[in-house]
Amino acid sequence: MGKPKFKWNPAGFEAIRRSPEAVRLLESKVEAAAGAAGDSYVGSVVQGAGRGTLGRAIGTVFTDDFKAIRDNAKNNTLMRVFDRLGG
Amino acid sequence: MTEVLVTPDVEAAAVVFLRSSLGALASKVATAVPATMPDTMVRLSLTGGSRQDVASDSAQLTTEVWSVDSPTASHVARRAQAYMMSAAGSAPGVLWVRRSELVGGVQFFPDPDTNKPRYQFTVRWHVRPAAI
Repeated sequence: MGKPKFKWNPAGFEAIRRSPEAVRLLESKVEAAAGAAGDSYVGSVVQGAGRGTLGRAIGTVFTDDFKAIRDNAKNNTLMRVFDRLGG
Repeated sequence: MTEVLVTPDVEAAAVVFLRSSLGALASKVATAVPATMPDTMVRLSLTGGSRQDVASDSAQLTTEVWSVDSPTASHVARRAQAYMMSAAGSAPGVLWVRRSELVGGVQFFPDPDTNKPRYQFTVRWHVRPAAI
């Protein structure tokens, strides 16, 4: 039996980055993080522009009103839900 | 039943470590701010963490620094960050820190409840959980 060879497939990575499944996974994480942060926090997922890693979907959780801005400044709320965005 | 593993008290270890490292640079290093805030206050908070495997936990520590003016608060925060990052491979506060990771560097983060400037940063300490 010959020695197995490994070959990268860059087009496959690009397809995964842009796949609806990847976006849905990110959306679920963003929703969980925003929900854990509180009522006045919201999340969004946008597909990056460009090729390569620039084209991956980007999830963000942010404050939606002054109440959340104040809450985050006082309690570091967004830092406390940071783990929910991880793998 | 699988082995019961407890994350060590990283907050307490970090307080002891930073208190000794910063010395006179900080009036107080603690996990809570007293009713009357001292001139230079350093607060450590455990803001998250996760278990990597049976031999490794990561603990996310946010450090806030208030002081009488911005340059002083920034100076103390940057020093504190340097010490927290230097903890890797040592045992600050009798806790072995395997690796230090910078999550968010020193930033100006105004505090709505005081008129003192506040700078903060966040690091992750990778530590070993203890079996009980």
